[in-house]
Amino acid sequence: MVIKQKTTQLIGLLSLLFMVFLPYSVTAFQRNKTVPDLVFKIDPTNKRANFNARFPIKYKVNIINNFKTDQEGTLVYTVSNSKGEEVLTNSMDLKVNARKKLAANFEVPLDIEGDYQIKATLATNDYSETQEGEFSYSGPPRKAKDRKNTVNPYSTAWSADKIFENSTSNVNALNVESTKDAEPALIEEDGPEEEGEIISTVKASRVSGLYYDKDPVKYSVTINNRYKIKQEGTFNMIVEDELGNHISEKKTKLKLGKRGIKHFNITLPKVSEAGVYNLKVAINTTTYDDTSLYAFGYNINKIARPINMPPDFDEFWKNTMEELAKVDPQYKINRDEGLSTKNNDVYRVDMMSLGNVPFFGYLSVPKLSGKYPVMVAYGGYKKDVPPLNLVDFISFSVNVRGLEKKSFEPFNPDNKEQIVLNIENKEEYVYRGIYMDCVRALDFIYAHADMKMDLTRIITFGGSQGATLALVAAALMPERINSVVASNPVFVDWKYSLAVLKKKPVIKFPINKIIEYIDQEKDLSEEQAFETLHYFDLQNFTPKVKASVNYAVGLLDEFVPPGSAFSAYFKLSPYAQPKSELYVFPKLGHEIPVSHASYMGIWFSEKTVKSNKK
Amino acid sequence: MRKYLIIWFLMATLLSTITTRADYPIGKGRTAIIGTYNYFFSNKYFNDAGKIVNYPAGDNFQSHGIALNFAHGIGRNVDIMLSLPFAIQNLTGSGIKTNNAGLADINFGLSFHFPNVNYQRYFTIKVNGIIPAYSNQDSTKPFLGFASKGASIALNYSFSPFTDGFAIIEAGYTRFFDEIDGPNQYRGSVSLGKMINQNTNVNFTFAHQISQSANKSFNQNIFVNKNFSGGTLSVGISKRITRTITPSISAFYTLYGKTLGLGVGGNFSLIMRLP
Repeated sequence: MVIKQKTTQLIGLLSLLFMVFLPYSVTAFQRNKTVPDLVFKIDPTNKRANFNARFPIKYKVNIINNFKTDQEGTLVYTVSNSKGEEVLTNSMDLKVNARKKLAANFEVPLDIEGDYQIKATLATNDYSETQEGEFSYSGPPRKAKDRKNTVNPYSTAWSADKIFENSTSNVNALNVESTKDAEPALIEEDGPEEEGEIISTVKASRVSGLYYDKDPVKYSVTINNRYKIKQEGTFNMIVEDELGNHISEKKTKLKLGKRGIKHFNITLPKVSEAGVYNLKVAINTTTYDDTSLYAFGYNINKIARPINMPPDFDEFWKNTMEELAKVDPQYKINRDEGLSTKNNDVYRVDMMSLGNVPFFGYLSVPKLSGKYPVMVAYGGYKKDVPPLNLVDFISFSVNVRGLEKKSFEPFNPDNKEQIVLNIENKEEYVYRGIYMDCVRALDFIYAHADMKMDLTRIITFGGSQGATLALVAAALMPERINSVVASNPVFVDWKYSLAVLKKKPVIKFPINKIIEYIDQEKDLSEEQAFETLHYFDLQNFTPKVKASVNYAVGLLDEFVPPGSAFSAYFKLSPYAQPKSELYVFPKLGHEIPVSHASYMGIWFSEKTVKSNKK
Repeated sequence: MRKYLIIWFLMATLLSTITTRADYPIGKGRTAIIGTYNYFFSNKYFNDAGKIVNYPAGDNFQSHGIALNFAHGIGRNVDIMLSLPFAIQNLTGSGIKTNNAGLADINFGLSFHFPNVNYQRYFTIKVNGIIPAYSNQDSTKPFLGFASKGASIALNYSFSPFTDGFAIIEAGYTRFFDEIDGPNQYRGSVSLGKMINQNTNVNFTFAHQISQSANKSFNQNIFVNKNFSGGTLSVGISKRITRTITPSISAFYTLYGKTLGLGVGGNFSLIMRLP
């Protein structure tokens, strides 16, 4: 995540002013008793809220915490298109210390032209506020003469929907290292010469952010001073490995005239070990303090992680599959009138899986005659998967056990966090059942060729947990699947993931839930938990996948270390590896860009040309 | 997990990729077989001043064309194509009816597609070779074409200008080699299409063509004229009826021109995508 901060006052000058004008300040403060406990301000970096490919969609957040306590929480923003469809939801954890302020920029990763609405909600310990705004994105920049004629129909004003709360919710926080003293004043009091920002562009010489062998790791840097005053300070690039170990540092003095621009290239000291490296770029100048996070990979194909595969791994899954085979699926297929459309019949398919636990899926069948390839979609962690009404494919949206309210209670009577449900015992662990649900979904497809399904053309896909499920299904039934699309898979290389994520300022899901549970359950040690988790580790499944795989990783993923994700990919079988494709997004976290989603349409089409006749 | 809606994002885009077809690549390993029938009729023409002049009473030119076209995706963004047209021509001139039939100009070529980052807009370069499968030895019959080898290059840009719509802007150049008088032909066209539902689209194409040659004579058989210019408008509708078969029908009319037959006609085609 990119964290950007700026200071709006020189601390020394502020102290002097405070002393000189103390009597007046007190009077002024007394006169204006309406200083809010917290000021939350969010604005587009482009005042017209008109963005394009050259000036990507960026918003500036200013928070002044006048509370006497630290404020921790999240900033969640949702972007909807002109049809009101939600196209993106993103969240950032933040912490603003008592009587401090935070100024940060964030980029909205959208690149489809259109008009959008954005809704941002700040929720901290004691405060909650929602603001709404609008922006437009116009793709490649237009010529200057066209821009003059462009009228942005949207105001940049945010309508505030402010709610004060005294909640004591325990929100995970990311400490902001350089929050500055906040005077109990409104942000608008900044002098005009303080208005502005420094816009930095840091571009890796390799677009993929991946370097191999003797490639020098180079970055081109452009720093644009939008302040009306000169800026002096430092530009610092710090390289750390995924575990947070300091690898190298390159510091440069920075001098920028008012509204000046500086370009330079930096070659980082060579790294010796294969892996993913985080790059902290810190700009510290007269009125600006900004730390951005980037990442690059070095010899990722040589990342060597110990394989924590239990010796009876294959036997465990063979026995589990045999156990599943003994469960009568009891398929119930009912047409869902409400979900069916003019072009697609949608059926709700209920079935029984391992342990006689029910789950269901939505089968969407195009009405036009013909045999269709089948796309099996698996969902993210505890996410429902609605029907996908496609033109060229039959889709089966798998909603694994526990997702439906009516089946939740018998499945999880103590309402435990899913990821730790029965983690004490590999035979009872929740994911043993969930992985079998994925297999049973394929059983259903194989048993219903009469529903226009072309059984020689089946692909599985998903994002996040769904990616892992798609790969696990392909590993457990390697002869049945043509291709897999797996974006940002999780549950991989647990030991290393734990080591990496423990080093983060905030321990992210899912590791945090496991740690919390281990802390609570005195009879369960970390090692014991790993003994179970290794049976469900993605990197132990990928060597069994024979299908082609489209695999995507964001180098800034906070949920799974990218190094682990690569490790799982490069363990694909020699049969799958040559026909698979790895996509790396150096500036993204647990997400994929829209362009990649578009590309997947092409991938699906290509991978269902040849039939899988095995 | 985190509030990313990766799947829904993906599916929305996937759907749009599939449904909004302009001059997009066929897809690696996929084949399209297109059978077409064309009908053209003309009983008047635009003279060299652009005015409409009727042929003498009873004179006209009719053409029936049947073509079998193949296109195959040899790469993700490269297609190969072959067109085998068969023409039947009936000419009534000065009250005398003549006709001719046979395999006409065989077309073959390659298309190279260059997508934008989101695979929503494509820039395409098409190169084609033309080989006549006939000769113009018998002057008592209407000619099936120039009987000349040729080559063409066309550039186009495909995009979606509005929801569920597609557009193709194309410019092309064709040169016939065997005769000293060419011709050189330049063509520009704009096509607009709109998906009216998931399986049906309507489309409009306006095309302007300039054919330049030292041979400025005019023949009622418009397929052999070498020096002319004019614009046509066509309107079509296509509807997918099974997963692989899409029939389409279109009609066209010559709007204006110089030294050009004023024609009206129609086209029926059946597109089969494999697999």
